Parts: sequence; structure tokens; C-alpha cells
Amino acid sequence: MKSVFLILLQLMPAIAGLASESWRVEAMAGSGFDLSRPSATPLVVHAACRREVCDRLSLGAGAGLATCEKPLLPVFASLCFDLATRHRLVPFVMCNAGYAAALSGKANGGFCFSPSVGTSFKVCKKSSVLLTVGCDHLRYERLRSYASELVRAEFVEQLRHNVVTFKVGVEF
Amino acid sequence: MSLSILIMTLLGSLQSCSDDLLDYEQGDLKIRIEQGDNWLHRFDLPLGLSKRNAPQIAVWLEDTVGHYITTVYVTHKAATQDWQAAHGNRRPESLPHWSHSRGIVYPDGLCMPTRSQPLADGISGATPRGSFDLRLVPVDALKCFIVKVEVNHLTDFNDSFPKSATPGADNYSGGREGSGQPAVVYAARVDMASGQTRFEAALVGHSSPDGSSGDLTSDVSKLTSALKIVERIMVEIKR
Repeated sequence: MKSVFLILLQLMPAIAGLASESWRVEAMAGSGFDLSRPSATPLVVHAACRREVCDRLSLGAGAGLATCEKPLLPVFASLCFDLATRHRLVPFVMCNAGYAAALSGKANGGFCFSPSVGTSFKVCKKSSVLLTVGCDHLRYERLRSYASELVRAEFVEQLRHNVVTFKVGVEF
Repeated sequence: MSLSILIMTLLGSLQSCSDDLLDYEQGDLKIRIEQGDNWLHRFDLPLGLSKRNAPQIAVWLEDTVGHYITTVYVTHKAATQDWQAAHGNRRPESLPHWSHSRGIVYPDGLCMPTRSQPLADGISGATPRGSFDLRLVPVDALKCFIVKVEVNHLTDFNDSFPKSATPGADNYSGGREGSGQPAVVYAARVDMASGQTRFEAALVGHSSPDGSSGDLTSDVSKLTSALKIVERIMVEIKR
């Protein structure tokens, strides 16, 4: 947990710095179905800040929480490209890539990558509703154990989840 | 620019959080299964697509006269019958020597665990994509035993075990979605009191091609790529 607090502390100056420029903040939540075996139904929640680097492209970073077999804290770089100029309805492609840290013991985090397509729908002057569909690739490892009267065994299971996810969120 | 540096710093610090999850103590056993050239095997999918499948594996212990003691590890798909696109095939040919050694017969007459009654004795886990280790701590009374490992690939056909083999033939291995070459079995006799610390498992034969029995055939001359799934299996006593 100590490392998690350190990460959040590291994120604060970046968010504060971005706030003074042209920036977008989003919060999203979603779930989906896992194509891999063993499968897990994940719940994904994340927030991201992105700076607009040109009319359609924004870059930034974010963090969130994902639950598969174990709770994970994904910290990622985020890129979003609007497929149309700013209208009420704007389709976009988004890609997040980074590292998902394991929050519980006996597990190690791993690479996470989630490309998606979606659309934003402006509901008032400064806020939009977001809908996305994408594929979350998540790798991490956990310790599996078994004990009987005769033997105790341990094995590091390397998990690779490929999840089709549907997310909904808001953007300010 | 500052954002890129921040992200790189973050990712670096997160990567360093990784721990070595297997922590050995003196007297523990380390079973190392090293991947061979055919560890990942091409499996054809519809529309001309394909994927690289890792093998099905079972690791278990027997006493020195060949009586089953306990299962240590079985790959998730075999342990829970979580096959993809199997069309109801229970794949008895995947790990027949292990499943028959356990001696548990399920309601359909097969020895492989079912979805409703998955493996309860031993670890089941995602199939490793490469070499991996198992940590084993036997009780003090278990001084001399045999570590057995059975390994098998789906659709690993060759000239001796073709896709076209018909049910009932000696080389029938489950048809188009079957095993192809049968599972191969390795064994290492471990004597904790011998003073020796490393025991290499030897290839002892192949299992029944169609999974109808738990018998072993010592003649492996008809096998080709099945012999290259595993490079080496080593059992080491930690000192």
C-alpha cells in the first residue's frame, strides 16, 4: 500500500500542472466479458487527465481500479483522437497503456493496454457523456497454493486477460 | 515533456514493486519444467486464423511402487473442463495416465474432472506460456517418491497419429480436434535421504492415444514434435 500512496503523491503535481492549461478530465466505469481462460468478469473504474495538444488530439495520464481475481491499480498514459471536430456528438478512438500494480499480497502487477472506440455526447457547455467499447489486455501474476496432509505446493500463475469492455463515463 | 518523464518514472517505480512470489526454504523441492522447441503449438481457428497454444500438463506424486499419492498441479483447462470450442468433447486423451492414476471415475465413465466437479486436490492454474517452477514441501514421512509429469498438445498430428485415424484404430486420438500424438510422461525418483540434491526426470513413455486407458507405452519411436514440448524436467532439493 505504501507504493500506492507514493504513486498518488507523484500524480498530484502533474494534475495540478495540467489544470492551468487546456485540459480534459474524464471518469469512466465499465465491465465486460473475458475471452481468455481462466476467465474473470472485471469491474474497471478509472479517471484520466488529458491535455489538448492540437484540435483533435489529447494526451495525458490516469489511474483507476480494476478487479479481476485480485484488485489491481492501473496507472497509464492516455491518448485520445477525436474523429470529428467539436460537435454535440464526437466519435473518438482512445488508447491507454501502462502498468497495473497489484494491491493485495502474493501477486505482482503487469502490463495493461486498452484500445477503444467511443463517442462523446455533449450534455451541457462543459461536460459530455462518454460511451466506449474496447478490449482490455491485462497481465499479472499471483501465487496459487495447495496444501494436503502429505504435501504443500505453490505455483506462480501468470494471467493474461483479454476482456471486451463496455464503459460509460463523463468528461469535463 | 514533463508529463512523459512523470509517466516513465511512475512505470519504473511500479515495475520495481514486483516480488519473487516463490520463496524457498531449506529442504523444499523445486520442480523446474523447462520449455522445449514445441512448447507453443499452432492451433488453427476458423477464417484462416491461428493461435499458439501452450501444452496441458499434470504433475503428481506416486510411491516407489507406482501407487498414486497426490496431484500437485494440473493446467486449468484440464482441471475444470474449460476447453474452448471443444463442442462437448471432454478430451480424455489429453492427460490419460494422470487421470486414470487418480482412480476417480465421473458419472460419464471418464476419469477427467468435470465442470461441475473440478479438480479439488492440487493446484490448477492458467497454462504457463513458458518454463515454470513449482515449489513442493512434502511432509517428513515422505522420504522417497516419484514425481511424474504428463504433457500433451491438442491437434499435434504427425504421420503415425494422423487426423484421419478412425475410432477404434490404435492411433486414433480423438479425431479432428483430438490430441494427435499422445501425451508423454516423464518421471523422477526422488530420495530425500540419499544426499543427492538434483534429480532429472526421464521420459518413461507415452499414454494411450485415445485416453481409453491409463497404460504407458515405452516405445516412443512414432513420436516427433511431442518429444520437443519439454526440454528438461529437474527436481532440486533446496539446501
